[in-house]
Amino acid sequence: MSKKKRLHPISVVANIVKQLKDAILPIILVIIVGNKTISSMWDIAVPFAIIIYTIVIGIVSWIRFTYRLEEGELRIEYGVFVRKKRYIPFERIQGISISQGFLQRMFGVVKVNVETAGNQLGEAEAVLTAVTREEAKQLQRLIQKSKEKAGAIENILPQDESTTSFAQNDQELEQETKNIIFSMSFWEIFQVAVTSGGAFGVISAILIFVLQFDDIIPYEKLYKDAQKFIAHGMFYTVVTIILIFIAAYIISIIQNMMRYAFFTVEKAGENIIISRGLLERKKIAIPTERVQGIVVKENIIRRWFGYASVYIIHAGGAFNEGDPESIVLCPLIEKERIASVILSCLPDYSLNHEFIAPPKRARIRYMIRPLYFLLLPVCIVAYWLRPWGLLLLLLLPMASYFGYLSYRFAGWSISNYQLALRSRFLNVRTVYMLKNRIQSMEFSYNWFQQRKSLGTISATVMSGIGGAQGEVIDLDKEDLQTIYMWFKRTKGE
Amino acid sequence: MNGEPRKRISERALSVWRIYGMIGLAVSFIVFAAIIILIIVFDGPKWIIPMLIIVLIGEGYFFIFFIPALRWRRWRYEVREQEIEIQKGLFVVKRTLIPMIRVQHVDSSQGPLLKKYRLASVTISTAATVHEIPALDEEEAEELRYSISRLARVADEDV
Repeated sequence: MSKKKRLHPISVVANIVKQLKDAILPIILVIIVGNKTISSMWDIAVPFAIIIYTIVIGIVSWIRFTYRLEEGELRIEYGVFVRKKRYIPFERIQGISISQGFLQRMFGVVKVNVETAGNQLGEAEAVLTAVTREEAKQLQRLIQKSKEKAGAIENILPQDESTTSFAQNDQELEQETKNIIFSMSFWEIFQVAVTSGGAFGVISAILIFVLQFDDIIPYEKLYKDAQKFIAHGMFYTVVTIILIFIAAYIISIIQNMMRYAFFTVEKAGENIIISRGLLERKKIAIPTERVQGIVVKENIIRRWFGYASVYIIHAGGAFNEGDPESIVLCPLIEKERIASVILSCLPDYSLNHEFIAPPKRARIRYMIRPLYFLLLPVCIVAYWLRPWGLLLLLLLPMASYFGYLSYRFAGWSISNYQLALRSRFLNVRTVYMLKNRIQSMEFSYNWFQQRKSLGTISATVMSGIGGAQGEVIDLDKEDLQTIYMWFKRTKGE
Repeated sequence: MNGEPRKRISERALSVWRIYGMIGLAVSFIVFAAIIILIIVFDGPKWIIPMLIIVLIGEGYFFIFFIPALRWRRWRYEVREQEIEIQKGLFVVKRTLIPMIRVQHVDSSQGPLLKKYRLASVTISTAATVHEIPALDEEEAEELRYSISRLARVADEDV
C-alpha cells in the first residue's frame, strides 16, 4: 500500500458541504447588502461565483489529497494553494476511530480519524473523510503489524508513553467473545436526554447564531416591534419566552436522543469499545491501559433518582473535543451498578469505599466560600432595586446552603494504589485515579487555612488537552499528610 | 509533609526580582507622571495626585522589598531519587510532588538578566503539567537538569 491513494470521490461532496457551511454567512451577507446598493445582477452573480468557487476548490482539494503508507509512516499530502505534507510514524499513532456520517453511509464508505499522542494537540492528526471499509481495515492491520514489530522497544518506555495496541481490526474483534458491558434502553436514553440540561446549550447556540447577524438584522426595528409587543401585555411576552424555552428543550432532547441512540459499551480484549449514534454511528475504541482516570458525575436532578454518569479520562487528543471528560462510558446509570460495570471493564479501579470528609472546622469555610463572590454584587443590586431587590438577599442563605452541601459531599479516599477525590458544587464530581497515573500532586494552604490547619489537595492526570484534575478543599492537615506519604516514593528521609 | 524541602534557590534571585520590581515601578512612574501632567494641564481634581504618589510608594515597597523577600523565603525544592518536591507561594503556600517517572523532560533557560547574575531557571515538564524553578545558580541548574534526566531514566515503576 505504498502507492499514492485518493479518497472516495464522495469526499468531494463532503468537502463542498463543509465549505458551503462556512461560506453561508458571507453569501447571505452579500445578498442582503447587495439588495440595497448595486443592481440585481450582482445579487445572483456573487453568490453564484462563491458557489462555483467552493465546488472547484472541493474538487481540486480532493485531487490534491493523497495518502499512502510508506516506510512505517502514514504520509498525507494535501493543500490547494500551499502544498502540505504530513508524515505520521506509526509508533505515534495512538488509535484509529471509524465513523460513518450520513453521506458516508449512503455510499458505504467510512471516515477514518487517526489519532496521535495527546501532547501536540492539533499537530499531527489526520482525517480520511471517505475510504472504503476494506481500506480502513487494511490500514488498521498494517499499522497494527508494524507496531508489533516496534513492540520490543516500547516495553522499555514508561507505561503511558508507549503507543501500544488500539482497536484490532474488526475480524479479530469478532473472533473474541464480545462482551457487552453496558447498554441503554430507549427509555433510559430518553431519560438522559430529558435530564441533560441541554436546553441552555441550544438557547445559547441560537443566540450566538443570531448575534452573528448583528449587522444584517434590523434590530432597532425589531426592538420597536418588540416594545409594542411587550406593551400588549406581559402575559404574551411570558408565554412567548416559555414557548421558546420549551422548543429549545425539545430540540435538545431530540439532539441528545440521536447522540446516545444505541449506546453500547463492549469489552473486547484489552479495548473498551463505545458505540453510539443514530444518524452518525460513532465507534470509539479505547485501550484500557490508556485510561488515565474515571470521573463519576451526579448532576443535581439525576442524583434525586439515584443515577449518575461515568466518564473516562483518556490520554489521547482527537476524541476529547476540548473537554478532558468527554468520553462517556455510561451516560446514565444507577449508582449501585457503577462498581460492577467498572469492575468488568477497568478492573484496576475499585469504586466501593468510604470517603473521609473534611473536618468539622472546615464547615464554616465551606458555607462562607460562595459568599465571597456573591455578597458584594448581591448587596449592590439589592440596594439599587429597593424595595423588591431586597428579595435578592435570600440568595445568600441559599448559596450558603449549597456551600454546606459541598461540605457534606467533599471527601477523599485511598485504597491500595487508587486515590479518589470528591467535590461538589451543583454536581457531585468524584475522580478516581491510580497512583502510577498521577502526573503531579499539589498541596496548598493559604493563611486562613493554615490557622485552622486545613489544606487543599489537587492531583493531575494526563488527558488529551494537558491535564485533568481532581481537587478537594479544606481537608485536615493530617489527612493531607497521609495522602502525601501515600504518594511519596522516596521513603524515609 | 513534616519538614519542608531542603534546598533553597539562589540568593541572587532576590536581586533579579528586585530589578523586575524596579522595572515595573519605572513603568508605573511614567504612566502616573503622564496622568499628573494631564491633571495639571486640564485642571483636573488635584486630590488624585497625592493618592497616586502613595500608590507609587506602596508599589515600590511591595514589589522591591516585601514580595521578593517573602517569595524567596518560601521557595524551596528538593530532588530525591524517586521524586521532585517544590514549595512556593506568597499568600498561598503550594507544595508539589512530581514523581521522577512522570518527568518527560527538563529544560533550563536564561534571559539576559539571569545571565548577568549567573542564574538559570529550570522547567520540569510532565505529560500534563509544567513546573518551574525560577532561579538557580548556573552550575546547579546544569547539574540538576543532568541528574533529573538521569534519575528519570532510571526510576522504575513501583506499582
